[in-house]
Amino acid sequence: MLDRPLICAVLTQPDRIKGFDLPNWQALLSQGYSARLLGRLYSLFTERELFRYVPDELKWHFSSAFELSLSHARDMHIEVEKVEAALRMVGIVPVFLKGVAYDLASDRSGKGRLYADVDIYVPVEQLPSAEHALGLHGWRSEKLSDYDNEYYRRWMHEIPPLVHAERAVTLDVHHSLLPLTCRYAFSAKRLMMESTMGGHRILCNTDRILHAICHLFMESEYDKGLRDLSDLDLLLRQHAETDPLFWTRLLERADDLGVGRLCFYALRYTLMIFNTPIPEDVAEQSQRKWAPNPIVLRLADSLFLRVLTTPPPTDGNLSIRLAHFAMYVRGHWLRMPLRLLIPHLLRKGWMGLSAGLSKQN
Amino acid sequence: MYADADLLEDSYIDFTISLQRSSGLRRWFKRQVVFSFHDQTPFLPLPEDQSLPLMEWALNWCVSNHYHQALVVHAAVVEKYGKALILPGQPGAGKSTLCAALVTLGGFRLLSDELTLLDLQSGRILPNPRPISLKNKAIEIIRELVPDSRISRVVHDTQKGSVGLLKPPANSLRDWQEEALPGAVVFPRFNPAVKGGTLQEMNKGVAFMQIANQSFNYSVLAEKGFNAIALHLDQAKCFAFEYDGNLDAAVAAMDELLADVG
Repeated sequence: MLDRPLICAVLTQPDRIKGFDLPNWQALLSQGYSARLLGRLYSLFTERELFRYVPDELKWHFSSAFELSLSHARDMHIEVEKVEAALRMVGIVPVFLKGVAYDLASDRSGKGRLYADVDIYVPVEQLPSAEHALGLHGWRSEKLSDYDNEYYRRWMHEIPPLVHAERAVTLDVHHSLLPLTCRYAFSAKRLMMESTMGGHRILCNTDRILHAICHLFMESEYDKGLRDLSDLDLLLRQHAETDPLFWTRLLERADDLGVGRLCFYALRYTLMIFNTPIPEDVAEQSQRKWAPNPIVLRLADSLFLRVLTTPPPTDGNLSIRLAHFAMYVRGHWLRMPLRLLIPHLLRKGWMGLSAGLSKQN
Repeated sequence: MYADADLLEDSYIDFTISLQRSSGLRRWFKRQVVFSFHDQTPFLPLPEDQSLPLMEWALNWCVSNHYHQALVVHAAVVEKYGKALILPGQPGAGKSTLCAALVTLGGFRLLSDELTLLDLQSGRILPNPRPISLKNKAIEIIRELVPDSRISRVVHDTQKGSVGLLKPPANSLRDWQEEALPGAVVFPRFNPAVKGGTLQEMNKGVAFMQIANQSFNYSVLAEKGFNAIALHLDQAKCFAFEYDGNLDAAVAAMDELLADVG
């Protein structure tokens, strides 16, 4: 098995930093920048009164990253209000997903986090009026080729990203949680929602977690893999602490939605990488019901443990680069049947190549 | 360029960066160089010849994207008599040329030719001394003005035209931990039509808005950034400065200005 990067140990047991020497700190800083987790480390350290153990020379890296996360949260709250106001006009209440939902739900995984964009879910039949209302309020679709546009509309679970003309924040509008062609697809109508204290709509706990699981374990790009797995670890810990029936409900719901295999992977790798306190019978039950055969499992272990702990390196390390490439292919394969995937990849390859050639000339 | 800088041993490193030849065919044909910061590559590869300017741009990027303990303003800043002289300016306003003349001819200490770091708590300026990036005509102007100045090999055809780096005076590097108190904020504009140049006091509200607009992380820091500018401007005077290209006269004017303020 691969050695876990130091940052995994620190996210699990922050007080490990008490015994850190200079090379340890240098490694943690580097991994924190790579995984974009310095803001999360800051909030862990301050919550547990450990920040004084950070060397004075390095303190600013952590507090600056946290400062940036505060500004993201602030911008994101404005965006949430604006999106809700725009859609209220046509009587639609959007459901906030992913990072934004963690923050709105006051999940621990929302603290110190950065937000690249805002994700919402709107039922497919309300999509035309939602797009219309968002357009009137300044959200514009980026210029896409006809092929890409068609690809989104026909096969994907979201419409092409919208960007606000003045605030330049990206809004992803989902009408389903997984690509329509994906082998784990389930109807979005079966999702269960809840309202936050602030009156915003989000998915209920189990569905919010299963959505994160589906995304992470069907991903084709793992540059933020460690961040997302740490989100998951925090979500599992937090809800297991507050709800004694949490694990039973999670397993039942995974079964119900037909995403058991992905749930198995999530429990296995959060446990292996972050020592998430998953009860033995829960781990055993998910293994019995959903584990792939031993050969596939060994392959999955070797790939997932690499891509989830190490972002794609810019040079060197061939085994990690290969693992990322394998996951890229797998992600696409899971999303589309081969009869769609092969023409798609050929087409994208050709488009990339011809764009590259015309740039050269 | 970095001969006078301290070498660290057994000390923490803030930014672990690399400049490497890009891989693949480019290793053999029209060699390129790629900057990376951990696993990020924020810039497109550039011709290998441009490595030195790329490193300077990249180091500025490291600071302006990650350092939020200060408001980071796109402006040159120098110090004399303990007071900071901040020179914000659009590209082409001549801030780097003026800054180079001030530190070579005028005995000013260089804090930075590109990034002014306004401390959030004190409103003072934190130094970040590195080579001054001279562009196009400025390279020859400084070479003539200060014949013994150390300028790097000039790299042509970069995004910013021809670039030469001027080695900062040794005292700037030696005193890199010495903060500077608020003194003056001067908005320079090169205008050959105004003989002898003009220096006019400027409304602080207008200066405030320009500083906020020219800062990289004003939107990140929000209220804290607002307070830092306010704190600084409470103690500094603001001027609009048009100069005709006579750098000796400009240096003398700035010297007089800083000796007067505060």
